[in-house]
Amino acid sequence: MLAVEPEIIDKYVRPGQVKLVFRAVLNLGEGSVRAAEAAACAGQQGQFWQLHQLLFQRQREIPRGDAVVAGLQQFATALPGLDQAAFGTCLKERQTLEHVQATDAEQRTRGFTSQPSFEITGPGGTERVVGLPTVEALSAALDKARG
Amino acid sequence: MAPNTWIGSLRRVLWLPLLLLPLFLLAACNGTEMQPEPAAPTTADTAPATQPTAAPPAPTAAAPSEAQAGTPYNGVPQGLTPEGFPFLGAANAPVTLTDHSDFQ
Repeated sequence: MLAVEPEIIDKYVRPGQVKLVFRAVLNLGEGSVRAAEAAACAGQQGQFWQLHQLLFQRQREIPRGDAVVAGLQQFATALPGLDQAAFGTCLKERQTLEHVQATDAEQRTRGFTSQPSFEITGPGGTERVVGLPTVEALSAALDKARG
Repeated sequence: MAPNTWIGSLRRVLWLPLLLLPLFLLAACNGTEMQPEPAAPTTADTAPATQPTAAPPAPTAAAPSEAQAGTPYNGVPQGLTPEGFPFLGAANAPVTLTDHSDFQ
């Protein structure tokens, strides 16, 4: 999504035509879970999207195993507005784990098992797009949903 | 009269270094300003003092990412849906695009 996100934001989200919602999918083990928890922890401080982009930009640098929490904390230090102590506590106490797991479980019951997947809902109907679409394809689906 | 002359001479001798001091400082600053300023904070201060807490590598390494991270979202409203999912844009936008993705 990161590849097409800026254009979609400028074209649809910024003018108020589209609301972009993010739901984490947990397909790749502990790293997926911890990263989703971290993003949700940042979201508690209104910094979700900033960490979201940082995580996707540096996806391959996210440590695995025991180093994952320390690594995510280190990532978050790049966000100047984030209360690092509160973020660290949230992450270590796993305050967002239940929400993250419940989200994943719920969307799996609706068939969202592969990532990325998109659901577009509007007056023109609902459409599901699986895989990373081009800006053109996503724009067409959004225009259709607008009715 | 003699003590006054002696004091006057002493004053002149004492003022001379004071008058020259700004010139020395100016010359010293011009010559070394660019070197100690960056060198002191980056090497002397940050590295040894904050390395144990792992704070310095992140700001320096992630600073460009952070700057890029903020740009697409600047000026765009952010919030949480009633279900607790983060969203970007107008809460009452006619169309909702839900992205289901894995951070890993």
